[in-house]
Amino acid sequence: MSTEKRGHVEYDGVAKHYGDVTAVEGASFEVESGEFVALLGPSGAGKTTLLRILAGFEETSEGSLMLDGHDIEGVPTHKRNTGMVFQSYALFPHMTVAENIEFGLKRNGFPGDELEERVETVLEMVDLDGYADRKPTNLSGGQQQRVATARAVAIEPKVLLMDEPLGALDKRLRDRLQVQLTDLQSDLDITTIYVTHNQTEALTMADRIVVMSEGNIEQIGTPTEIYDEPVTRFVAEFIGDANFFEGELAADGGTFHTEGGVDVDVEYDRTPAGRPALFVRPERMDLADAGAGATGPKRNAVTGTVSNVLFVGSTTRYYVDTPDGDVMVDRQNERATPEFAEGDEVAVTWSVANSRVVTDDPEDAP
Amino acid sequence: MSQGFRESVSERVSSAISDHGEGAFGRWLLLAPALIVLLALLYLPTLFILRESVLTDAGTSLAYYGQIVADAYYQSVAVRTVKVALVVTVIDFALGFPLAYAAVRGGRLLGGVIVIATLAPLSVDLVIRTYGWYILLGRGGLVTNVLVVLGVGSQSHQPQLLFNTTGIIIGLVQVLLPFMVFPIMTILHTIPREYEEAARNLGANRFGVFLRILLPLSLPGIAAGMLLVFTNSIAAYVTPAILGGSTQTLATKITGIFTTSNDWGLGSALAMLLVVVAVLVIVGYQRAMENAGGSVGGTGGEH
Amino acid sequence: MAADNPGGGSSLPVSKAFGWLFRLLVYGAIVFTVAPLIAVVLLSFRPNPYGKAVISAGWPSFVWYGKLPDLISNLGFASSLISSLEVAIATTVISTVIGGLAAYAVVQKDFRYSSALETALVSPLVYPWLLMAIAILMALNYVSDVTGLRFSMSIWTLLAGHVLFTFPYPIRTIGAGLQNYNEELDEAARNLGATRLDTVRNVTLPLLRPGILSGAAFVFILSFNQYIISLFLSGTSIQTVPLLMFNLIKAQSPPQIAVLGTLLMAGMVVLTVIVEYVAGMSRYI
Repeated sequence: MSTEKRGHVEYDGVAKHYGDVTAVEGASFEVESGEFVALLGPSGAGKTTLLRILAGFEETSEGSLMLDGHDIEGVPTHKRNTGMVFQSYALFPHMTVAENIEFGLKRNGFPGDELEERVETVLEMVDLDGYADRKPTNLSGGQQQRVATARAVAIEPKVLLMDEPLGALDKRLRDRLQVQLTDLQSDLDITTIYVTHNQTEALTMADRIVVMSEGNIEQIGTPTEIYDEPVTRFVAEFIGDANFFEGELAADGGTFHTEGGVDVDVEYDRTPAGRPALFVRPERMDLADAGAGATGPKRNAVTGTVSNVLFVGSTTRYYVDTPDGDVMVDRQNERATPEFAEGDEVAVTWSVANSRVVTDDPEDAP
Repeated sequence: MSQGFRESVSERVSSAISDHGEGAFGRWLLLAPALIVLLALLYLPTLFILRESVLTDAGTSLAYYGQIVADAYYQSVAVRTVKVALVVTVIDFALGFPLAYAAVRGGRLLGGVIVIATLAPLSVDLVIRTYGWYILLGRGGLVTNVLVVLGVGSQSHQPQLLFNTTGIIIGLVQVLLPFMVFPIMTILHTIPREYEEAARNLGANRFGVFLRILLPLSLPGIAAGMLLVFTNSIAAYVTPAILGGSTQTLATKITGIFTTSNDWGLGSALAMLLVVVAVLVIVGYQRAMENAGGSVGGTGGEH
Repeated sequence: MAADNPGGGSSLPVSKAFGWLFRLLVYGAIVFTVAPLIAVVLLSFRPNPYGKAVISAGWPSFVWYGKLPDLISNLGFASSLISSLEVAIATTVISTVIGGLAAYAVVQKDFRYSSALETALVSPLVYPWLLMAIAILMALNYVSDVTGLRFSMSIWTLLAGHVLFTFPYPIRTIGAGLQNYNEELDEAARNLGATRLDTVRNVTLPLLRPGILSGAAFVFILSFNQYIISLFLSGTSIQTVPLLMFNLIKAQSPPQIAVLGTLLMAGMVVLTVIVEYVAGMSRYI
């Protein structure tokens, strides 16, 4: 195995059309060698399409795709060395676990006498040593998933492609496997592209996230960037929970006039092309008694009545009925009983730094 | 060396498939042999039957058809054939539906027994199956004797079950029963037991459940079964030949003409009669299915 | 009394009778379907060569089984068995291949003419065999009229007829297998380095085995047992087993026929049981 930079992927203006339908439009981004990138978005976003184009199951309609500096378009699927883990696992039912793994090894230049050893090594990596002679139908969902991963990883692929691999598993198993997969990926230092619609998975596992919607890339960034600094409404809404205030931006960019008639301070230094909204995360908001008003410099306040209190274990979620509709506020439970109750008049406060103006157009990102 | 050669051949074929195989060209290539067989051996030749039936020594004419229509004998044969086919279809439905229902609702053992009892005879030569009836239905045969014991006819005047229409009907009913049972079984599998239970719960008796729930919902299967039984009965040869004696059906008459005489024109005309009836039935079935949403013969598959 | 039947109280007698009648019907029908086969088997053990009774004095006896070798050589059974096997095997290979390829082409979802083609491809299933036989005969007639070549029936004409009426069966069974097939398995194979040919050989075909075997079994059985098409298209040089049996019926004594019949039956039943065990044939009816 060479030590040069391996598994560097570059999508350049890649688009895919099926007749009149566009699955992906103008996708451009790079994945560094050894990086774990998640393609995140709802179904129909085009993320699986991008994966399949790299694997060779689809051709690009426009644009180019480079792997380690070479245009990958002309390379036939079976020569691409892009190990894929399918949503349905696609384990060959008529072969044992070992034979499944050997299938790829035999065709990627691993000599016959090393096969058995390699199979054992790889099974150990996924905690399935001793399962070599089992048939896939005799494995649980989680075990099948791990075998599928082992099979893809065994051939030492340049890139590891995963298509919603944990989708069919229950939450506990998913959480456990998420950790296992990230550990595996960093141990092996394999470039990984991971498709999912589950934002928690993306936030937990990825080095960077590519957020997609309806064939377009909305934003690319680290989990923190995506979470704290979304560039569009879609990203803000899709990741985590969000409060939106509709309204208008004042000409100086320092005030936002909400539809409910409240003026709040913002930091925004341009004229947006799309329709602006003010966005604040529930956990960045705080509650105070109505009379208190803004609790400090660079803080905003909106008054309203508590309409609902939901106890969620470590936090409590308050729904506050304001002139701008229901606002969600999450507070840590530092004591047993919630501080505010239904019907209380409260002031919802947040600091200007924790709020953002977002529109539908990514170009408007501050 | 051979390993490398095989691999390169494999590569070549694979890239050829990748370049052309996915598209329409590859599809049609795969379909070609089957379509050629279909066209060259079935559709086209059927037209030749037509041709033969209108080709007389005096040029193209409908003379043979005229012959058939004029001769009462042919009319009686045709009528008998259709009558037999209808009777067989009705009886097979009366027997087949209960069998199918019992197979689907009656538990694994009964279901298995019925499937085997219906399936196994299909693998046996038709000639042999019919021969069994030949033995059972003749004078002194088991069935004849049983009937005498039961009071039908007497020892000296045994009921005539062989060499007549009755024998043909009995034979065909048994031989074609599977074609009714299996389509109905297929469709019954898709009707949840809960429907019947709900109907019973709401006050329907067994017959009402059958009439109002089972029958309408299993219509596609019933229609398919009837189609298969009817078209097979109309054109059946072996069973009428062995059990009918001198009693002729269209099939035995046509075969007789082709094998013992040179009157192929007449034979073809009679055959066209069969073709027309078969086509009418099939088209009628297709129309009925379109209204209900199904396909000819179903596509098998697992249930 | 109303408590017995919470539903239609007034129709209770009819319901009860219905249930009893129903059961009689079902069991009677089961007996009815296997009656002739049982009759033949029983008959083969009857020492008395005359008469129509299934069982008579001296039953059971193996006397006719003992005479089997004579029976086989005198009646030409051996050569007809060979002919039948040759034709059946050839038909099986050809029909299964043609049908399999066609099934593969038609089952793909993104094919415009799929349903029309599907209907056309299974049309032989509702086409009477007699008409098929005559049609091919007329076609040959036409060709010889037009070209002046004399055509005689041979194994090729017979084969043509047999392939025609059997090839839809593999289409149905293999098509069913393909419809339930997970395409991602093929993609995974290619992803792991297998060429298309490699994938077909090592992944697709093994997984389609039940459908292929079932289809092949159907073709074999149908071809071996075929009468009317063989009658028209085999000519004088070839005699298949069904043709032979038909001719023997009027000529030979019942137990002799029964012995041959029983042996053929046994062979077919064994074959059916094996294929059912290996490939689960009954799912495809």
